[in-house]
Amino acid sequence: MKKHSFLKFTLSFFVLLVFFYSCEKEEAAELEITQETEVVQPTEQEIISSKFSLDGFDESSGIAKNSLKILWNEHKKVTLEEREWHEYKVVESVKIDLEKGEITDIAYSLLATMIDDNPAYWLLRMDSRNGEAYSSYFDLEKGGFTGMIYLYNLKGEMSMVRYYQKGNGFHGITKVGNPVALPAPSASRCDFKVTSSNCAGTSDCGLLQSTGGSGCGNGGGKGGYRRVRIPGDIIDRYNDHNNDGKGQPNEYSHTIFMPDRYKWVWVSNTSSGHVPQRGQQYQGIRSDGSIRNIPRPSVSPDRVIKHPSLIKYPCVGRIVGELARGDFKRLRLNKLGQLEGGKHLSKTILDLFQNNSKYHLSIKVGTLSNANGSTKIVRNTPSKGQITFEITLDKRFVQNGTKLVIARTLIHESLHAYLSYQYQNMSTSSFSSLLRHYLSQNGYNNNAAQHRLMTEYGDAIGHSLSVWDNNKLSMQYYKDLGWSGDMLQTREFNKLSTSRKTAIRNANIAEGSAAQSATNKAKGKKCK
Amino acid sequence: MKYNFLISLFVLSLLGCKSGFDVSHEKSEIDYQVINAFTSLRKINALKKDTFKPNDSLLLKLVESDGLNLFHYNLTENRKNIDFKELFSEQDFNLIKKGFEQLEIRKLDKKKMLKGVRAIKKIDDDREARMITTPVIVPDKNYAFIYSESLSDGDLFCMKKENGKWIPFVSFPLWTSD
Repeated sequence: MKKHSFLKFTLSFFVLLVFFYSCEKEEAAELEITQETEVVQPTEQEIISSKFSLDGFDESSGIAKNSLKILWNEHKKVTLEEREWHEYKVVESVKIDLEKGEITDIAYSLLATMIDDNPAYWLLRMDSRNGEAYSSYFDLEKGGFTGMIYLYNLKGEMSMVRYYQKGNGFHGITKVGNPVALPAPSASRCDFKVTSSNCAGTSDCGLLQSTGGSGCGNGGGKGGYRRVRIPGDIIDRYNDHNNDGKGQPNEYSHTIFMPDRYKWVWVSNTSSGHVPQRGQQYQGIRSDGSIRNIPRPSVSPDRVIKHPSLIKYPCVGRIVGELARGDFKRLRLNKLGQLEGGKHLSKTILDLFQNNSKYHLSIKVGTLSNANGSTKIVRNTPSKGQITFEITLDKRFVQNGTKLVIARTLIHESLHAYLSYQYQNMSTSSFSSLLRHYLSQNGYNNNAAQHRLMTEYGDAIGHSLSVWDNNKLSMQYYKDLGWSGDMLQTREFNKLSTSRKTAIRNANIAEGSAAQSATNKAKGKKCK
Repeated sequence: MKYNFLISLFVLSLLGCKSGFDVSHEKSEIDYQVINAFTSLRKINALKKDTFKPNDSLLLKLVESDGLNLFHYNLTENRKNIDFKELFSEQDFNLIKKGFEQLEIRKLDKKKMLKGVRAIKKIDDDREARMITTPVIVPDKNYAFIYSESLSDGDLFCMKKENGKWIPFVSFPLWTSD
């Protein structure tokens, strides 16, 4: 009996075991089926966000892609001509600190629509001109937007550009002969395709006629689109050591130059031209490496650099400071330098470099062979486009010469920097043509060409020297000192009268040089 | 026997002096084509008899790809600044930089130089004289660079070969004085 019961019990146990096992299998099978049936299809929004990337934007697009953040949760859906459009808010982590100008606000949004199950995207940039910031493409008309809008595809190419005036969209721009193949919202809104990389000028790109849609303003007759160069933004970075959110001069780290951009802008017939607007930004780098915008520092980084070597020669340092003073007693106008108001040559040059974050001027005292002064063109950070014109005054010259001749040589050397700067920034101007002419005549020798050109500035150097010296001496003496160094090796010097040449040579000898000390005929005093 | 050895050594040393650049004949010929074009275009009448290697980092910063773009005189009819990144590949830039990093001091062969160009020991007393580096040539691209200095200036000069003739292309001033 016991044996039977045991068998029965064992059998029951196995039956139960098989039952439970089969139940588990069924549950597992059911679970598997459930899992299959619960595969969730991604929504349009999920597809749009998952496939989106700004990697195609390079520097030429002018869009600071790393600064843009898409807010996928801040989204709206608009149906236009039976097509659903999604628009996402875009914020900039680093917002351009716009200077006073025609563009009062720049905002972005992302437009997306599904075409054959694949998302198509356009990054929208809205440059407002009336102080109203807009965040949506679909609010432009009803909100009375005035400004330019730009649509970029994900390759960073400008797909469309259009001007709005009080909500009225003007005709867009297209490359001539290029078929328009954009989906809505272009079709109903008179927006047309622009291939910015292929449009070399207004002759290559034209306005399209209205395709009959409503809401198109009349672009013709009131002005025209022009493709203009917008100088790249400049960002001065400061190591914000004390985390006070302000930049101190001693915290200045480096300057970043964003590439220049080319944009289509609407220019009315009455306007003489587009005034480019440059965005100057200031950013602080915190101790943890994060970056934040900071207010404009009270003192900008010093770009006319007094080299530490000047500590030993405080007299030279003082002269540099004095050369930057304006001449408000006797206003001067130089025919070549286009100098105005209280400006004179040395002030103009020093101001130019003081206010220029790309070209710096450094002044030091060092050892030269056979020269009073030299100017080096130092490509100090080529990748950032920075150049320093490094002026060196010879140690013996500083010891031998008077303050008058030191001031003159500083003007002379800074003029080398100025001429180089002018050529580089106006390579097709008449001024540059003259320099090129001298280059070709003098075996492509920059030194000889610049000294020939500098003979045109002899009087201007003299005037500037007189301002520095408070006009204590006769103007003729200052003008004689305006000629120096290799200017005396030029054919322009040889053309001067014998008496003038002698006066120039004598003035230079009297005031001293690297080779010999100032004589008792010097009118200036030694630099101590 | 002893004298024969000395005579052979003397003859060999003479031959060594005569050859100028201690490089392959073909390269030497090209180098002198470039040097002679340079002296002709630059209107130079005296060269220091040895090439030189500048000990300043100015030149090496210049020959970086961005450095070439930064500041130069375009000596062709088209006055606009040249984008060297469009002209040269990364490999070309490396070659130019390496060429200037590995400059050697060599004796110029007077016989291969242009007539009328003096070879002088020092440029200290001659304001018209220049000293030059050996040319750095970008193979297959027909561009050649020479850095040169006088008492009062230094510049890098780039020539381009067109229709078998070296013509001025770009000048990069590095320093000027007085």
